[in-house]
Amino acid sequence: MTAAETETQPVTDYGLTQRAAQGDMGAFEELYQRHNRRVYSLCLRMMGNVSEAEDLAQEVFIQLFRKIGSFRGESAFTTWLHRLTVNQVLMHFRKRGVKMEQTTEDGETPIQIVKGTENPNAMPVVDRIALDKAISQLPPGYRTVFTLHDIEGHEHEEIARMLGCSVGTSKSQLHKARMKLRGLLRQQKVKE
Amino acid sequence: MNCEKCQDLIGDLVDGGLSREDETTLSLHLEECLACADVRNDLESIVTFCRNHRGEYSAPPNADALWLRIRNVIEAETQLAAKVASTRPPAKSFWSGWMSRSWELSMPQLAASAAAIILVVSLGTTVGLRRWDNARATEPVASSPRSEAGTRVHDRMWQQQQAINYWNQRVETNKVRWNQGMRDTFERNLKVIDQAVNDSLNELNRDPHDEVSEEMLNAALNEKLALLREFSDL
Ligand SMILES: [Zn+2]
Repeated sequence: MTAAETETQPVTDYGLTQRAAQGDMGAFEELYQRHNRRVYSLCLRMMGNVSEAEDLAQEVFIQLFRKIGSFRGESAFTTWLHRLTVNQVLMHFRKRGVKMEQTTEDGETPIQIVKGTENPNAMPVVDRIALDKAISQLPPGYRTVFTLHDIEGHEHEEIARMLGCSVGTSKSQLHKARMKLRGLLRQQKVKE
Repeated sequence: MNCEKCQDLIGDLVDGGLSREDETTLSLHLEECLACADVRNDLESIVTFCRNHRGEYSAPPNADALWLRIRNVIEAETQLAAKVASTRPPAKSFWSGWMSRSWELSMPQLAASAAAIILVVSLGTTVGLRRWDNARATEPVASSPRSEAGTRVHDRMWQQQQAINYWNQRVETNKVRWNQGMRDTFERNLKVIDQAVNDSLNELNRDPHDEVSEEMLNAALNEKLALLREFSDL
């Protein structure tokens, strides 16, 4: 392989993890540059708060450095890092005693069953800013399930495993989260 | 089909996980119920938006500053680890010392007592100290000529407890990396020390002025500290 060819072939994530495991900070920085948006965005959606999301993203990359030698390249690096991030956020919730399953006893208003034409104001067209704002207003349990399912595209079986709940719970939490989100998006329109 | 049942099923409809039969009944309701059709439309547009924008991420407000913070922490940790590695005697020789360690901490008469309570590691010690503290606090001052000395001893023990908590946390973080042999050695030593701590505390609860038990407790807490400190680096 000529020098020019080497240049056009970017080092794989796995290659970078191996170099970082040997203490190569340059390789680790490259991993950070490649993946910080992904990690931060996930933290932001699950935390609903910029400064907490930054702190958590920092913690994720520190954990990543500590554990990087244990990445064997069997799965995609992004999957592995995603899992590490979710675990870190869930651990943070657990430490703070945040309950993952939102019940009506938590002071959460039950979902209103919409009947007839009692709610004439239509939901505005969904856009990124409005959606992110509404997500940040969801209680943590709803926010988590909504982020994992609708934003990140996980199946209920995976979510149930990650959260240690049943598939049924994951489904019902998602439904409540979506209904709550719909209400929040409608409210935003009214306030404008 | 009523609206409640309908809205329960809308989620499955949007995710495409509905049986053909349910889908047919649901469609009939949605055709004639504006409110439910509205819910369906709204949820569909939320979910579709998310699906279409999957993989779009927002950058941290200051990605460079965040990187510097991360690098600082990692470098500090790496330097500390290198320092510990260079000052620490070869791991094997020191912890084989703990492996063959014999203890003279236990008070025979108390070790035999069936009533001796074995409490969990640091919690046990904290609770014990608090109980001992209460026993002292209820004593009339006049009948306690050594109360000043007692407070001093207690303060010293409070500090020991803080240090133990600190090292205990570090041990808990590192424990996952240990092999079975190290785990067994650690647990065995810890059990002996905690037994000694509890024995002395029980004795002190009975007689807060028992100087021998005080010394025993002090020695046991120091041993515990040494054990945790050495194992925290493994
Ligand atoms: Zn209806």
